[in-house]
Amino acid sequence: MATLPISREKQIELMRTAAERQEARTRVWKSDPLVKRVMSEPAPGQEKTAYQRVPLKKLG
Amino acid sequence: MAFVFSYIPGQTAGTLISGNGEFIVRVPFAFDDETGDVYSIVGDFAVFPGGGELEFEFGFKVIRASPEFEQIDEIFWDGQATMPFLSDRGHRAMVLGELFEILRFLIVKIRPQRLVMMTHTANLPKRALVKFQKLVAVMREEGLDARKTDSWNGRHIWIAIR
Repeated sequence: MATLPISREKQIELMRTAAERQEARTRVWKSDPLVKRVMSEPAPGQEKTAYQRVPLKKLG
Repeated sequence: MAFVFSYIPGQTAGTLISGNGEFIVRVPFAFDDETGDVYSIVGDFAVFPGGGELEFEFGFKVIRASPEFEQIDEIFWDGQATMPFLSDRGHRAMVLGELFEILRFLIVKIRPQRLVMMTHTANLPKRALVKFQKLVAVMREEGLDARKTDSWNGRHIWIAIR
């Protein structure tokens, strides 16, 4: 697959609007139920449980 | 607030989700034992304006979220803004190490043809730019030709192609 260069004008446009793009993206994240759920899952050690998740690739 | 750093290198499970042209990896590393808030390092590939197939912008941030209310409370773009809770140098190094692994995972999994990465804040201090240089090293280790181009108004951009 050919990868054409990004023009200098385009690079400047990307840099100029970088924060706007990130803010727009995270506005969507803050309202999306799956993203919110995933970001809110407890950290290691946060839940008092006798069990742990085991990645399926470690089974069998 | 009692910030509890509970990340264990190589043993803390991450999650990949995709949608909207994005691939997002989230790895939790700490929690607040009073509020219950959880802190995560997040790296993502996202389509960018004018980008083609398998061309993405790489972004990263720390997110504070509330498991109780299942909501994102705060997003930290700037490493300096994380200092109030992530001040321990050893902890910062571990979180940064996890970010490198997230980028490595995304490159291997998604196999981008082009990646762009840029600073969002003008005139970042040199030590902040070192983090970007290390991310570029990861891109190169994973087979991408990653280069920095000229900065613009104190902002920096790196472009990597396969």
